[in-house]
Amino acid sequence: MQHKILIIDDEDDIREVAALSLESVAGWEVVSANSGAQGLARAIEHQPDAILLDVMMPGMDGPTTFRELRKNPTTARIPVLLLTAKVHSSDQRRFADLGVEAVLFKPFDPLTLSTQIAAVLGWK
Amino acid sequence: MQEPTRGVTITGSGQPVRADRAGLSRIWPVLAGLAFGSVAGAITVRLIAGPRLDGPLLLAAGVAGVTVALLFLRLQFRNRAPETGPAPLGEMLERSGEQGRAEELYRQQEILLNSVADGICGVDRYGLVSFANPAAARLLGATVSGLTGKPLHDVLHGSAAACIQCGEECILRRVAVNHEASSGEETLFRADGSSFPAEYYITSLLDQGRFSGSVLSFRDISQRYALDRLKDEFISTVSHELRTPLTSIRGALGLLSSGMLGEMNDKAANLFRIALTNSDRLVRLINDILDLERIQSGRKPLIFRPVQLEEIVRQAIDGMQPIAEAAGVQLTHDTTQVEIAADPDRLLQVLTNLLSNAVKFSPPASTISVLLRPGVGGVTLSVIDQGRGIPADKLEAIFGRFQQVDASDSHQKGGSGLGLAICRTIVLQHSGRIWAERNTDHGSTFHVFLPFKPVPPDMPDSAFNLVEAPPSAQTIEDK
Repeated sequence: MQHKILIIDDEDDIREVAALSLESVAGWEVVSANSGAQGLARAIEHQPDAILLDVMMPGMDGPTTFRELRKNPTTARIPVLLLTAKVHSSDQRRFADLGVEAVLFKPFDPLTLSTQIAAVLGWK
Repeated sequence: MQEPTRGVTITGSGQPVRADRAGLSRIWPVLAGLAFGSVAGAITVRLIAGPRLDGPLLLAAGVAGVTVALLFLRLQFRNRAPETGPAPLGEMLERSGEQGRAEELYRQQEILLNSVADGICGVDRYGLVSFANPAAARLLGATVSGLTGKPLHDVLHGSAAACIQCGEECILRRVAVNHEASSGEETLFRADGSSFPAEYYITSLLDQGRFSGSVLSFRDISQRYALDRLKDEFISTVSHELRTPLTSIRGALGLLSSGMLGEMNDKAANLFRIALTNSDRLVRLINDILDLERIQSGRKPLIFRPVQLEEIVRQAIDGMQPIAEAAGVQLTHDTTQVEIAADPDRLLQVLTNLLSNAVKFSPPASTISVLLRPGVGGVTLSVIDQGRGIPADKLEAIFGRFQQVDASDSHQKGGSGLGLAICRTIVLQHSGRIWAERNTDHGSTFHVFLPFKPVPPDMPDSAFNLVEAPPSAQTIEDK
């Protein structure tokens, strides 16, 4: 089934690789944003099935963006998966407490990224 | 043992106490003029008491003299009945020599205790602070006299706000009651209610097998905590900064080498495979460095619970099976039901590392066996391979960081060179032991001994014996 994913990450290369992975491996539609603010706008505009959200971003970081997404009634129900290069257990606990669907770690395997997302969200 | 000092009043006036012979003869025991040192003391003795001492002497001393007088009395009458008869001057002179030595010893002790930066408190058998050095008072924001005579726990935790007060289980409360030895890190509270992290050691003192009190030493480790936080942040940042470019590299190579984006010739495919394998190796290396650092620093504490070892062995073998199959190596196990207290995730990491090493160095069609043998006090896990074996001079070195049998191993086998260092750190935290042996025919065996009940690391012995417990003014006056 085709899904629409919004990738929010300030790193152009990572956005591109992740988008290519989801498009070519799973055949999903991908929308990208390079900042929290842009991500928020794209989420409202595109209403994706899920959001892949980077944690460390200048300006509005991942957790702040997540809270903003939850505040807005039009995006409050979109599942969010954090994508982070932070692997400290204290960070992980902090992220888990936010209420996101899952925390995925960088580097990810581009061949299994879509299956990981699908497994978390119960997509067939 | 008779106690010679009962009823004796000792005053520290700073001046010699003069008394006539009649007055002196009414009291007992003998005290020398300690404040003047041995010779002057002896002369004073002679002046007042005459050539033969037929009555008690004066006490003359400042505070130090009084303390040494008490020490002297204790040393003199420790193991024998007090002398009630007249003592010759020669004996007095000899004793005053001992007094001089005792005084010197006392002065040395006082200098040491006053100059150390660690707080030191003596605690009597009832759990009351009988002595505190100036550093203890400074660290706790109190005066020495304000600390002495109080229960140890009140001194260290008494000023904590009601909402954060510790319960009956507080280790510092228990040691005073149960006469336990202990060490570790605790938050201590200053007199004004503010707190600081401290490292402490409490040692029980046994006087001829009988508990006579404890000694507490402690130090403020706020600075170390601050440094740990800095190091933590640094490692977290470095890890993040390394992972970010690696994510793009690993992702791009993964997509390219899958052939999903278009066909490529064999040479190009091979180069992509090499680049992909090495980027994976770099990721493992970063993960292992982080892991080792966190386990060793104790920031990733072990969570001990009852563990069925057989289950851990099965899980490790199941996880390693695909890699073993790809290498044409068979994994077998001969285990029995054994339960120990351990951190299951960490033990699985140890066994997975050992199996992964064994598979890497095993020729195709060989077998790797895992044995589980309960013994006295614990259980031994063995991973036996039929690989190339380890030279005798490397059997111990391989547990160090970045130590491999052959320098080219990390390139050819793709290891980080940290796997066995991680294993050893985890096993040590289980109070266990890990070592390697050469098999008689070929290959090597890695043994892990795990005690049924591990004890937390860095615990001192429960108590050590002091043959001569130092007397304190408090205890002698009490008698």
